[in-house]
Amino acid sequence: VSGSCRRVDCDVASGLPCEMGVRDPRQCPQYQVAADSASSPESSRDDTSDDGSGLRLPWTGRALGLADITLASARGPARLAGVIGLFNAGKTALLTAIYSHFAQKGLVGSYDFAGSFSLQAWNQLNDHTIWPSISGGVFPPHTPDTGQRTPGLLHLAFRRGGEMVRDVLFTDAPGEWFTRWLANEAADDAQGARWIAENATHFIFVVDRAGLAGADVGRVRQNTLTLARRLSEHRRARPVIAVWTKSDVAHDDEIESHMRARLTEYFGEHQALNLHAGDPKCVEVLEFLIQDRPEPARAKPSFAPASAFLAYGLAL
Amino acid sequence: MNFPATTPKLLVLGGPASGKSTYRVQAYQRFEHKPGELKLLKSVGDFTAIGEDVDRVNQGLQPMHTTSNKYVTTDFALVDAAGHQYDLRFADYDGEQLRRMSSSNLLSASWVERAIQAESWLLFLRIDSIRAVKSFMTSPVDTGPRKDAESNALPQPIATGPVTESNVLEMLQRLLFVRGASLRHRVDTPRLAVLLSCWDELAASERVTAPNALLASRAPLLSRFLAANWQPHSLHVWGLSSTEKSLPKDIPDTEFARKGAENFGYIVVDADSEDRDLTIPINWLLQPR
Repeated sequence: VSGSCRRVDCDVASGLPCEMGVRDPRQCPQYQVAADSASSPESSRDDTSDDGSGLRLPWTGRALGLADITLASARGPARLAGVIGLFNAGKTALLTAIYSHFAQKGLVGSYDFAGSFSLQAWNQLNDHTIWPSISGGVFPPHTPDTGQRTPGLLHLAFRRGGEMVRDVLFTDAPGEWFTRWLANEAADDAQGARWIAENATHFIFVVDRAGLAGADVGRVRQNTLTLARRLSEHRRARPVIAVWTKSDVAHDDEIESHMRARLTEYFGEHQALNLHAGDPKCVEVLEFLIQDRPEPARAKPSFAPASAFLAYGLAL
Repeated sequence: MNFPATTPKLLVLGGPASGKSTYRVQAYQRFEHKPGELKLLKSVGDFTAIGEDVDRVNQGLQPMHTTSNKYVTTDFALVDAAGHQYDLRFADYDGEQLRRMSSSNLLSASWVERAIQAESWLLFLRIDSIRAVKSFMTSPVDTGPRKDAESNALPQPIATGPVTESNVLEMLQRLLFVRGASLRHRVDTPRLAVLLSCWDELAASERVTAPNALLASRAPLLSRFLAANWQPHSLHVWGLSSTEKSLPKDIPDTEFARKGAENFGYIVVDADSEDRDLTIPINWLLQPR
């Protein structure tokens, strides 16, 4: 079936289910069948062809959009990892490395891989690194800055033993979003960065070690620290991990010790990892995201009853 | 003791050339000629959808590739050692249907219905040729900019390659979803039997490993996905060699034909532990809950 819907928020044209819940889109009053497909012959009935009787699943395997968060959070509150870093800091390469190393065992600590709504997107990232590969084995391309207000989201689900599943979403946003957020916190075109800062439950702050040892060190240092400070002002006690990427190339110890001290100033004592794409320790980022930690004191509303007993008493 | 016959619904899952057709023939040969845990209660009423395949295997030839877009079934009246009777509908189809299922988010009405109704799922995997997710470790990364001259010299991946780990994962996720399994908790139903087919074609070092361990090393994400989402008692992994050797397409293996197809094939239960009763996985799937 090809056609389009008059509703702006309906994605039936891109293969997602009808927003109004109609099983066969052609039965929906909002739907317009494309002229060229209206008279398609029924003779070539294929067990997987789209004759309108099939079921559209709410995910395609590609990166998820904002509306799809409900899909991953329907089973319980999903964790949303905001991956924050400058252009070329290695954000997408880090995500690729995490998935690639995780896929070698399928588990991290005592947590098993329990599924993903964005398998195709993960594999697209990973295909850039398969040797010999379609692209000749280079790091993933920069995430295109499409001007959208929400980043593409990548999904992984985990489970430990017979516990409930835990869903984790990762933002894969272009560095330009954070550059604009640096330049002007309230800028119209920094909405994407603000969305991440507001909605993430965890932050992965990506520091470009190679950049700090390169010719452009001054600018990288300045922008990295300003970005860290900006993030710290919006953080509201949510957990943050600093990932120092590209650790397989030369780095500058003197600058780094200064940088680490400044990051501690902004984030307090925080977990930090030195990683490079080939390092299996990349999966430690997943441990940071999955593990339970005591709820930060500031996140608890002060009027909440201290116990279920009290809550019951108040209801009486 | 005899119980009234039940009609369990079996969902056969397997990509192209995953060994579905050969196993179906050989399971039938066991039901009919060499009963194990399951045997035929009466002769097969309608033989049309399996007859040609049975005929070829009995001659020492591999079954023909299942015709594109066909979905055929054969009914077997079976009885187990305890006297439970089953009217089992055993399907065969071309595995391309499943490959397409993983590449599109559209699931046809017939597959939705099968997924919802079947409480026993039988998954075939060619573990010797499955393509797992690659790693930086095994596949070093060229960190430099892409050089077109070099990349042109590299062998190009083929679009329709072997079934990938991701294909199988996506297919299972989709089938579970249409059943309404949110996967918030591990599922009890459907029961899932995984058969690692063409076990005889594995390297000698791999043939001595336990099927579960081989699945974990060849397809780690899939292996953990299964353990994470099925109750341990609802999931079982076996190795499978339906004919103990690959049968030719054109010139019959007369040695195989003379000894009798029903005398070939085994199930790998554990490391170095085989059983010639090919009906074991089906019997496990059908047992009353």
